[in-house]
Amino acid sequence: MSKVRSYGRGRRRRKVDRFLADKSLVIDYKDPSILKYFITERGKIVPRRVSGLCAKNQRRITRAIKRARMVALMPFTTVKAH
Amino acid sequence: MASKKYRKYELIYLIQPEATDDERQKVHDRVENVITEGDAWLLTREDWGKRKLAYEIRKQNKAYYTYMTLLATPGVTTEIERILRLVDNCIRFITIKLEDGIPEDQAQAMGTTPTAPDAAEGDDAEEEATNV
Repeated sequence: MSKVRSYGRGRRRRKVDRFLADKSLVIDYKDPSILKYFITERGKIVPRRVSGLCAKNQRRITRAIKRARMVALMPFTTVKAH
Repeated sequence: MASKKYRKYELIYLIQPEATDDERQKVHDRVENVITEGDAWLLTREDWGKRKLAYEIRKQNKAYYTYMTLLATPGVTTEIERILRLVDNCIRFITIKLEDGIPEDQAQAMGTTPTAPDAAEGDDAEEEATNV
């Protein structure tokens, strides 16, 4: 469901949880190609208000990203430390 | 005494990129030794090959990834982790519990058949089994 509603000023598209929309998508820390949609360019985890995920899936994504970081499948940050 | 309960785990470990085939095989052997000697079964082993790391570890940008799934009683994974910590070539590892409380007979069946059948999902286990 992606209805366009007006909220005061401006319009916002109703965000959908893509994992609820597509049951074949599985949250897995071993699959960075899916996880990458939920991090910013800097490598931070995208907040729920932006990602549009339900609470449960947001927790799963967070856990998956953190695990992926441990085995260097995902970056902690893209800015090089020195 | 109540029958032993098994757990299903997945394990990933990273080996230095400059390690030779022999050296890598040695690490595999040591890990598999723990599994065969301990109360456990190795279900699958996948070689992901040399992959690019998302960040530098020990000044390296690449590493060999190995992924395995196993059935084991609780103490086995700590032993594997102890071994991996001792191996100089191993730069990272992670073990994740997929399922808990698998009864012995069921574990035996899963362990002796080469293809792991998808069993019922664990209760409050860490993660859902990776379904097909």
